[in-house]
Amino acid sequence: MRERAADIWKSIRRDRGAVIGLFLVLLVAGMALAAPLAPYGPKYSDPDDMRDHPLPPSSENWLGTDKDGFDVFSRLLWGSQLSLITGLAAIALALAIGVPMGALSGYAGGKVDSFFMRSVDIMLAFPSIVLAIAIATLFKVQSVLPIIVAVGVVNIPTIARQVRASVLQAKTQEYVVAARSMGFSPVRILFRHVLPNCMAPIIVVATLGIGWAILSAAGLNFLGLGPPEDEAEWGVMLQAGFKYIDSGKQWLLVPAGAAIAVTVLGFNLLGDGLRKALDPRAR
Amino acid sequence: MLVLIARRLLIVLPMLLVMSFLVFTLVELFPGDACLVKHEKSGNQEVIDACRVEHHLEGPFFERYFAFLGRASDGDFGDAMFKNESVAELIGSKLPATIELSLFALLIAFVLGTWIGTRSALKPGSWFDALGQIVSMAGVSIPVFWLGMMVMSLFAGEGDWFEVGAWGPEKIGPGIDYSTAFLMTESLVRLEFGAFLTALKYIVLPAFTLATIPLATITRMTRSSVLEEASKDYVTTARAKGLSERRVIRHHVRRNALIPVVTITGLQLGVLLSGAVLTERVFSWPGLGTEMVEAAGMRDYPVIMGCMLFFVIVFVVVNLIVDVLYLWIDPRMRTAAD
Repeated sequence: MRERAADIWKSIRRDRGAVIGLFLVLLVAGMALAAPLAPYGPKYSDPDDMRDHPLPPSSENWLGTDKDGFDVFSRLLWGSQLSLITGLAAIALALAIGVPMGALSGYAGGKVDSFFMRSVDIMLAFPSIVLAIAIATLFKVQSVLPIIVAVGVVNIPTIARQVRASVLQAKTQEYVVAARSMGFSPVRILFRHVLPNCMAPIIVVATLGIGWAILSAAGLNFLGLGPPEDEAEWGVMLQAGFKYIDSGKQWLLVPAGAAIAVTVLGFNLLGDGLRKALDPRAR
Repeated sequence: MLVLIARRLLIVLPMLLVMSFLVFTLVELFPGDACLVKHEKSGNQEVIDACRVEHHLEGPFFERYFAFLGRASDGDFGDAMFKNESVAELIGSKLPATIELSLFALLIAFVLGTWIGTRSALKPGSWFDALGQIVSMAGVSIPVFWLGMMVMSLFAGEGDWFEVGAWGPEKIGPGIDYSTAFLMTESLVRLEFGAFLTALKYIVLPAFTLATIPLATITRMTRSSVLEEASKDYVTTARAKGLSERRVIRHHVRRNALIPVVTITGLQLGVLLSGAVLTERVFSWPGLGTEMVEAAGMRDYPVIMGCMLFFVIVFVVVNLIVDVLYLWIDPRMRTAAD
């Protein structure tokens, strides 16, 4: 196992895209950790400040201020926390449902398989945003929670299908036949023998899924389905900044959008790199 | 082949049925009550009750679902709650704009993507190849709504060639009596080139923005497909016969390489429609996506339901067309499926 990990690490280090991806992901994670060090709080405005916001970048506010007088640079840092949490939580949710679903489908076959796979087909027959908007609308609260659930649920089919395909393949391997002949229970075989050997593709799909989840979540937030307008979240910041598009206040638009793009790019490059590292055929 | 198409059609109907049930249930579960919101000021319980009856919100769940199915099969999707229009009219006026935008974007993506992909594959490792890979990586990473904003602030200022906002018959071709809401297509068919050019001014920016999403996948797919085809024996034979490189690529490699690309292009439609909702919002495009998001905000049940259903129908129908197209392009599929 350790040898394998060293091997994967070596392959990633040699892949320029993957290195850049890893760097970008670490950068955003660093931003999220450093957010408490930001010059201002996510919703801090000076009560004595009577100036007419939004204000352009200055030495005081590096990326200017928004209409509430909040510091854009600080909100950009704080926003990385919400974006990462949303992406990770959504994929965690998709994994929590998609992995057992796909594993049972692949391992049990028959009616269980048909039932789960038809459900997956039906979910895939919706354009993802239509389903996501409907799910997000189900919630009464204005927060990231509806967005996490919506994006997570929409991601289930991809995960379930990948897991099913991997399990189908692993099921016929000799070690599984051996485990079965030793009289282990199917549940034990599935979780102790089959699934651990399907980890590689699951990790790849999950990594790429995080990027996709962050992108979709930003879109839903931009549509106003998530947190309220003063939340330090990149999609929400773009929604608020969009009202100023004709006035040339680029500091309300460029930083937040670029932050989303960089984060998603990071996860996509890293995911691609992992795929190449874990699946020698893709090299 | 007809049998195959019939078989596919037979699967589509129950699928649409299940999906209509799902849509109905989801909308049913939405919190809030549009009738309460609409008549909040009057506070008159009788008015609210009448509104609930009018919009078929009273009665047991399944009874209402089947009644809804019955009405929907007659083309009656109810009336919008906050607009003085029936849902069918609303969709009839909005769906064409979404379809024109999506198909135009798909066309741009297909033409550009297959060109970039082919050229990249012919010279792997060249600067063009590197550029193509950057473009396709950017396409899947840049938020489409943000790209739209950037494009808009760059190209759609005052005095620029492009127009931004909701197009309409009076803006595109004053004096032309449009019989459909497919404004661009109808202008072209009627040979009204002035109106067509105006329509282009409106559609180019949102369409290029939206095209970046499928462009990424199409470019990647073309590249790997051409690379694979180009290494096959028949290509070597064609070269050995002394055919020009141009002819080898155009007539031998590209034809076969494009088969998987066509499938991928069709499958991109789901992503495309999702992107369309966001792109429409940014460019205030008068399409179904904008309508659905607004209706979801106001809990306008009949409109949300209608929009969701039509997004699903478009998606399912296009997938059906792609399946049929696939059978037509690749004869091997026909025998395999028989």
